[in-house]
Amino acid sequence: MAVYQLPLARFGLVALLVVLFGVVPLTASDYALSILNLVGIASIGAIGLNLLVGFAGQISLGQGGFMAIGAYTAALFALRLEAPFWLALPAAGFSTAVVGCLFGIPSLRVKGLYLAIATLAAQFIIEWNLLHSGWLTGQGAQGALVIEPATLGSLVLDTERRKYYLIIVVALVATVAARNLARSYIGRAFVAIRDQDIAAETMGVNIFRYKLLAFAISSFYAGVTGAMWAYYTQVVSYEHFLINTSIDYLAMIIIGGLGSVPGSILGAAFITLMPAGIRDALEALKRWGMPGTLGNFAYVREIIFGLAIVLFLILEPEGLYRIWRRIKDYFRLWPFAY
Amino acid sequence: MKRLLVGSCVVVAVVALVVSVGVSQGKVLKIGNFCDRLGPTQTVGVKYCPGFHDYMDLINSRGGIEGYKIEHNEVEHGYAVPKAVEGYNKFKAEGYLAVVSYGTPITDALKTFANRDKISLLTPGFGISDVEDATKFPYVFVGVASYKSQVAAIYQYIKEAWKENRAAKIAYLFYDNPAGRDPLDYVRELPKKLGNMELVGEVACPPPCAEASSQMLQIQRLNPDFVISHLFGKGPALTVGERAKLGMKATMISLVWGFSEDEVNVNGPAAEGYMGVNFVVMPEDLAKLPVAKDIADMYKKGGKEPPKEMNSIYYVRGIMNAALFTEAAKHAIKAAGGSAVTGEHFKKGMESIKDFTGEGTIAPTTITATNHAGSRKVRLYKVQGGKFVLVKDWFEGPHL
Repeated sequence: MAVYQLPLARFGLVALLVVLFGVVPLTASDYALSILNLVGIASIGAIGLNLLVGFAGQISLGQGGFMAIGAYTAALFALRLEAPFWLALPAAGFSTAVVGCLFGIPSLRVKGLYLAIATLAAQFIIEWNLLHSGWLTGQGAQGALVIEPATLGSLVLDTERRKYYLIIVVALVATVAARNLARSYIGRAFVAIRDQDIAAETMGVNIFRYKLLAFAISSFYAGVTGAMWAYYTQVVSYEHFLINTSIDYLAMIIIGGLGSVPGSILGAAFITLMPAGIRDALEALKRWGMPGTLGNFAYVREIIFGLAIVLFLILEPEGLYRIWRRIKDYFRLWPFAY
Repeated sequence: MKRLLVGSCVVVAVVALVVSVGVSQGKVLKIGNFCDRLGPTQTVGVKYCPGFHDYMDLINSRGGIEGYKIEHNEVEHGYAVPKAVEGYNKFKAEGYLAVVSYGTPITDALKTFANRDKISLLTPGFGISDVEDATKFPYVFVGVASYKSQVAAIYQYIKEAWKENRAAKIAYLFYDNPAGRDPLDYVRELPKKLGNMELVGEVACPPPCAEASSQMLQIQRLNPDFVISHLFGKGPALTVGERAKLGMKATMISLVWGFSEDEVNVNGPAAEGYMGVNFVVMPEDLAKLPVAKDIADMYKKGGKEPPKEMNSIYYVRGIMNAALFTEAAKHAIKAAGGSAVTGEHFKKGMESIKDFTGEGTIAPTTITATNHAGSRKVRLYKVQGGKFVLVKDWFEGPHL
């Protein structure tokens, strides 16, 4: 609760919880819930990546690969050990943290673009290994696994509504943990390293330790995201976590706001909702008589989506979170804007 | 400017809300289609998807099926799994009974959802073996020859065509992803079973396979008599060109995604002698079928030229998907017997498809409650004089 010091913020938090756990599941359609589920899963990954890129300043293009490790760990725990999901989920996180640390080692020597390339290698190495490790992934040449839905006691989490509860709980825990981390010594050390690593070192921050920790925590989040994706689709294939996944998550945190936990969630929502929103809008316009074919709509959608991203970056380089803060500030001072 | 930005976002949101309130009129069956028009396989998607929609429009212009009109829409996913999952949920929310999948990773992600939601998922030529088990995935249908069946047919042809006394040497060239590796067990084991042939090498081309000269050199060193090629995207056209450049003697036979007009157009005379199997007829054969004339007439009636995509093998594949679903719809309506057609009815409809030839585009196909794989038959073609010449009519290879 120390994160939220103002009474209004605490009230807002309670209201948010009531909406998320009470109002939404009761009123939202299956489709709306499925979208929230996708946003929820993406949020966890985006928060994790933001801890690494936005807070600690270490760029990573290996997010997809790390998510794949998490997904396979969860699936193997479920299939080989018949572990329940509440055990498979942290296992996925920890195993990915170990792998993330391994690939984080180059960050001690290289920075910026060079680190981007080193983490890109992580992405491809993980992909290749998952495809070619039949002894590990099993099931023939394809390396794809099918798992049962998560269960809590006798409750099978197979419908969108039930999955929603699971995802929202994990996403909330991930958010609160990240916000707390950001204001702890660790979070401050991350920011110090990001802003000026030499200065941070002279002030007593152990660079070696905190850079690796940033990779470990970020990978833990990525692993949990992968495991959640696995339990959501009930299918694990490394092809769901290719390089474009890594780029999507980078886009989420850049649009949402680097170095901001709520920004990560906003970015995840933007990347997930925007293409669908534009598509539906175009389809509605078509129903009202706008000429065009299905094929052209796909191009128009992509153009608008690209334009929206460019406009955001030009007009609001600090991301969606900055816009949200400005709206908040406006109402905080309302009706006198000074 | 910022107001404009916020304003446009609001407009998009409002319009999106309006859309979700759908209007239904008359008796309508909803059948959806996934498409990739912007992603890595867009060269296929832009020709493949119009075939689906044109055939559905044709069925509607003929008066629909048993009084039902087909409502058909498309979700463009750009080969991205999250977008496909979102699109699938949109189809589900709008009451779609059946959806054509597109892409191996996408089919993989949707197969459990389809079972849960009782939505029939058609996945022709996307190489996921486990969905052929109808007991495990009762709502997923393959319908046409899988990668394994295609490999089996190619081996069958090699066995018949090889007249020499020594064993035929065969190399397998494949795209190094789950789809490319799918038929590996058939590739390895069938030569032993059929006899008088041996597999001398497996050569992998790592995705995106935009450069294949080292792979082709490797094959040249193996000196095979036949190359079975299973590539996607730009890979097939590249290897066909390399093969001519190296003066390779081996006969190169491709699976379905590597044998289209693209390989011929890019390589010109260098494509001569290139062979491939397909589970639909080639566009030259389509042009002779009544269905092609009907589609052209439908366009002319609307005052438009018939689409140039009709010259593509992928267009024929689009027709095939739509035809399988409309045939299933016919049986589903009968199964429903006047009541509203549900997902279960549609599944029954799919399983009632018997000796169906898709207006001449596919081999006689039968799907039953226990066999969702459908037909294993393919046709074998060869490029001669810049055209596809039929080498062997509908045939199938042995099982493993």
